[in-house]
Amino acid sequence: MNVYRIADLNIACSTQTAYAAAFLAAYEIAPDASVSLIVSDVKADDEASYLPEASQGVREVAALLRELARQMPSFDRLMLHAATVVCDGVAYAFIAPSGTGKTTHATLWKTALGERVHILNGDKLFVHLRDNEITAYGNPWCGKERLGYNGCAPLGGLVLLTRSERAYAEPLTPAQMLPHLLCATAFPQAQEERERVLALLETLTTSCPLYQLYAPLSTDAVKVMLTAIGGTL
Amino acid sequence: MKIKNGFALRRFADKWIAVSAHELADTRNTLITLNKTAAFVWELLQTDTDRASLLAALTARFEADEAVIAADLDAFLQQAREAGLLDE
Repeated sequence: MNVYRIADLNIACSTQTAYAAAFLAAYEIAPDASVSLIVSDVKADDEASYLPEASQGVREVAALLRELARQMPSFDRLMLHAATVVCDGVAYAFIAPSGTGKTTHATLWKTALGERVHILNGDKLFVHLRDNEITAYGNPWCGKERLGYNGCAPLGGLVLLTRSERAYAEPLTPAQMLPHLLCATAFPQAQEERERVLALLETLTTSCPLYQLYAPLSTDAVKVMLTAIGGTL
Repeated sequence: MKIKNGFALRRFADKWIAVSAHELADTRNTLITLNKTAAFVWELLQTDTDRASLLAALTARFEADEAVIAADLDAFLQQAREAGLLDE
C-alpha cells in the first residue's frame, strides 16, 4: 500500500489502476509513515451507474472519494462538494447544486484579484473541524478543470451560491444553511454516523460566517462578497 | 395520530431539526426545521395521541390564550398532514 497525506491525515491506500495512482501522486508520502485510516478494496464497478461513460480509473477515484468521505467524519473531517478560493490567506467555500457555476465563480475571484487569490480546489473541499478553528484542505479531487493545489487555509466563510442578474449577499443562519450542506456532503444512512455528521455540520455552521451570494457571472459578484466579508479590492 | 417512524429529533444550533432515517433524495420531507413549540409537539407525537391531549399539554406548558394555541396547533397538524408525516 502507498501512503498519502490528505487533510492532515495519513491514509494508506492501494490503487488498482495507473490512473488512480497518478491522480493521487502529488499527495504521496513515505510508505513507512504511521497511518490513521485505510482505504482499500473500493468497488470501482459500483460507480458504473453514476459514471456510465467513464474509464475504470475514473470510476476508481470516484469510489476512493466515496470511501474516504465515509470514513473522514470519525476523524472530525468532512468532504463538501464546494469550490474554494483562498483570498489573502483565508479560505471561502462556495456550495451550490451542480451546474450553478461554482468553479466559474471561483475563477472570477482570480480574474478580479489576481495574485491575492488561489483556487484551493474547484470541486471538493475537505474541512477539519476543531472547537475554535476550521481548516480547509486542498485534495486530489479537484473537478474536471483540475483546479487546485495541495495546501490549506483557515476557513473564513461558507457561501451558498445562487445565480442572479444582480449581485448581492445576505447572511444565513445555521438552520437555513443545513439543507444545502446535506446536499453538498456525503450524508450517511446509519443513524450513529448521521449524528456524527450533523454534529460536525453544527460545528461548521456555528463557527464560520454563512452567506447566500446572489451572483451574476461577472466580477461584480466578487466585489459584493468581498465587501460582505470585510475585504476590499 | 402519531408522527411517522424514522425521524430523529435533535438540536441544531438555535433550532430543532427532525431528520428522516430514509435516503435524502429530497430534503423537503427528510429534513424538517422546528421551533421550540413545534419540537415539543413533535416529541408528543412520537407516541400515539390525539388533538385534545396535545392541546392540553400545550396549554399546560405555554402561557398563551387557549384559542391562540389551538389555532397554532391546528396549523402545525395541517402542515404535517399535508407533508405526509402523520399516521392517523
